[in-house]
Amino acid sequence: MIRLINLLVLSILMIVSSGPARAYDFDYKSIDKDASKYTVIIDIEVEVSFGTQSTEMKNRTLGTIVSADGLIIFDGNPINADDPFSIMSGMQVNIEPKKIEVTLMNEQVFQAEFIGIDQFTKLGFCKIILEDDAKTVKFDFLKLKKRDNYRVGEMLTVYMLLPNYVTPPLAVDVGMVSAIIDEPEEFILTVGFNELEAASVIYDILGDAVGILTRLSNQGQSEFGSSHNGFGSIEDFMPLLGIGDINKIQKLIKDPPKKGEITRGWLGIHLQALTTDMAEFWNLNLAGGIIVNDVVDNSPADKAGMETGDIIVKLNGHQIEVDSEETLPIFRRKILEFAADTDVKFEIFRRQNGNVDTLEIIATLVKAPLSPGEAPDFKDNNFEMKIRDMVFADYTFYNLDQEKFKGVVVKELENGGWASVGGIYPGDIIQSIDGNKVTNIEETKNSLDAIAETKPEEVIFFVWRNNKTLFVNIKTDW
Amino acid sequence: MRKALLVLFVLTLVFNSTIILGNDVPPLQKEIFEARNKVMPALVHIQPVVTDFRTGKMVKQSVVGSGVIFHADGYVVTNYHVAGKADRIICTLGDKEQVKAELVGGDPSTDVAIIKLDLSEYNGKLNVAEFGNSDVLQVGQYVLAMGSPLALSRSVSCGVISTTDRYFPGETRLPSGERTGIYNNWIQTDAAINPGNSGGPLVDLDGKVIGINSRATMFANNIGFAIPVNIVKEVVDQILANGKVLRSWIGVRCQALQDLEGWFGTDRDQGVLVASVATRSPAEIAGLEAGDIILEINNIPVSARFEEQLPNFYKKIADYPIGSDIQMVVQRGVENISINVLTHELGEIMGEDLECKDWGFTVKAITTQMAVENQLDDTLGVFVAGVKRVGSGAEENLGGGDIIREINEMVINNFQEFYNKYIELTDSEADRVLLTIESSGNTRYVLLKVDFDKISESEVNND
Repeated sequence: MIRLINLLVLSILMIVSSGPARAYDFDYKSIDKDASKYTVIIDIEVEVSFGTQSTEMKNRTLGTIVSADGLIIFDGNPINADDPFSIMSGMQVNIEPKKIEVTLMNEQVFQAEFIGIDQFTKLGFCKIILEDDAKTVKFDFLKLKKRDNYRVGEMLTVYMLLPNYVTPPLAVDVGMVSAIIDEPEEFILTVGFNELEAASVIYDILGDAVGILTRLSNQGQSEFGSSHNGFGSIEDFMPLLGIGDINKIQKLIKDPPKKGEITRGWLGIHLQALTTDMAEFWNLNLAGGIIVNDVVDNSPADKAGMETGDIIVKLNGHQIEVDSEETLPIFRRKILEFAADTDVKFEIFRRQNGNVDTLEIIATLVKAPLSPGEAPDFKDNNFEMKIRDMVFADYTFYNLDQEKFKGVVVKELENGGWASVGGIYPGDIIQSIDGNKVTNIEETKNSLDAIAETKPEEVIFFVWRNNKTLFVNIKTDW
Repeated sequence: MRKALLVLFVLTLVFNSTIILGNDVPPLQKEIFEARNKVMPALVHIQPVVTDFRTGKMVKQSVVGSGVIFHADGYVVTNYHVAGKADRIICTLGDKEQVKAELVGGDPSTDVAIIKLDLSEYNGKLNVAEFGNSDVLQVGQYVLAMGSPLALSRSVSCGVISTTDRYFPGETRLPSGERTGIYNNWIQTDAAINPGNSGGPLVDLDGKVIGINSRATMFANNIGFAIPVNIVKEVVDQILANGKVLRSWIGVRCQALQDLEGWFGTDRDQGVLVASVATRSPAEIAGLEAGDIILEINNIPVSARFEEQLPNFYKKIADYPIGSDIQMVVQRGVENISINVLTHELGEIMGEDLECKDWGFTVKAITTQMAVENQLDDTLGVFVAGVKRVGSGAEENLGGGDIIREINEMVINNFQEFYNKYIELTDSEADRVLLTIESSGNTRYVLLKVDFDKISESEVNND
């Protein structure tokens, strides 16, 4: 009798629990059908080098085919090395993708070539290499559906990659829209997803692919002079993940960022946010603006007549609402996102003798200077060192005269190599080799090639280090 | 029988030990005793209160070091890093009596400072130690180090001279940031030197001071360094005469020629290689270049084949009277040319400090040497030495190393102008102050929000 009652209770419980009252109900059968066509697993081998150290690493991540000819996006953050903080003083971490293997869900395996990483979204791009006889192969690819009117509280889902000893390799994860963000960019913030899922395709409750999981960009953090001291902020513990501007992602897919190729626009000013306190101090009726702290000689800003102390209030007719260092990246990003050769109109306040003049200035942007990480480099295998060209940031950072000071930067050294044993350090700027001036990697290469012909026992390098110069005698062993 | 043997054994022991303490003392032990007796009474345990401005506020700190009386008027020589920035000093003499002392002068470049004991209330007999000659020292020679290791006063350790001319490549800096050891090599000894020994004498077996102990090596056993007393004697004479050490400066860094002679085509022991010429320095103005080899100065040949010879060369230049027109014969390429360099005063290494309490940071006057070292175009403005973690400066991201060029868009030329402006603005309780800041070649504005109510309130609470 008791058993019977138990059974009854149990069956009632079962009915209740298998009822239709689930909080959310994704149609995974249909999502899975789509996703399995364009979702891939990417195995990347990278060479990580740092000063005199280098090592190989493997990275396994989820990718998505986004074009019929096999373009793939993935999370580029783990292999992104373009960090301006580390780039100076030879402490630069250099990450070079060596080999990329792509596995489709139908277990087809392809090799892929690395293309580049977008510096804002940190999306990585690579492309499947097709054999000559397979050039006509067309891949199924992701088609994003642009959606508006997200609601806070609605559920979203993504695929995540499980460790490689688990089959099947994919699992799903759910998250929730937690805020609709306006600044620094339009962004649908979510909770529940984690950073390892970045670059995954996001599906909504209808099963539509509505976006890519990206980080809310904080360009300010990767600029010099970021003030991160004392207490941690929420981003230190929880990256802000969600759906970014779909148009920007589609633009990137159409024209993926290529390593070493610069299209970003550059104005050539050092800038600072006009805070409301400063506006008040100067009696300016402004809710924000950009203070021009310095104008680089011969830059677009200089040619257009911008002056130190100017305050930029409008960009192409739009009021600039930058009023703190935290919102400064909005302006920076706007300039960077203009292509080189674009004409940009600025409205400027110029304070003079207590008066404020309003001026309109049109500047033609040029290509942004290369960052140290992007500078052309080459490795000399005799001296076992990697040399790169000097770039704009080197001159600014060390307060050197771009006209007078010339040289090449030691990017990396092999421990125990001739250069390293001889007393060259990462970050040294080589100014001459055996009395021959070297001003770029081409000249350096020629100099070292000529030395490799004559095979001298000693080579004298003249280097700049910490604001001082010195001669370094490197003993060779041909 | 066994008992008798034991008694005999004990007796032998007693007998033996009386031998050691009696008249037949072994010669070495006797010499150590005699040296000890000559210097120990002149040994001083120094307890200065030093000020530090690096954290954005003036912080007082009690430290411990050693020193030795070298003059009957109560002058004591010690290290610059012990007493060079002292606010007040308390000394304990050999007879354990305590007296006050005050700073006479200091020289960070050699890490030497002189203090003077206040003997007005001291009734004991003052003992004075004698300086020896550090030019005749030998490796292996017995020495005694005296001082207060880890604040344990009146301690003696014994060892030998490990080397007489230790040179440290690269830059050696004092805890307060000044470069040191530019004009001297160091005596290295294995007589134990620990923190607190700093400023104490290194003594030979004649009982003469041959060095001032100044540094030890962390994580190593018995590798200590002393400043040779001949260097100390010169610094002492200058400080007693002028209150500071006057040095000529031309702004070159040199490099040992060993290894490079073949390439430059010079003979052995000929010339000093110029490796680096400071921007806007007298040497640059005179046309000296990196790669030049200085063969003669005022008709006297100079050479630095080994790096140990470099301090002596720098000292030679420093020793010329300030404003000397020194004539150099310089080898440039295959030519020998003559270059005249007008020496400038080296001046203070680091500038005066000021605590801007209301603004939450400290500043330092910019000296010529600081400008050279930090690649500044001039000495205008003041240097931000430190920023309090919480305060007006910190809120606006002011950082150590920033240079304040303007206050309220008025140019600040020097420390005095800054000081006057600071007093003026704090007296008038200006609650908004606009600073123009230069750092790493960039300029930016910093608007300080000064809350005078809060400051006076917190001060009341602290009291």
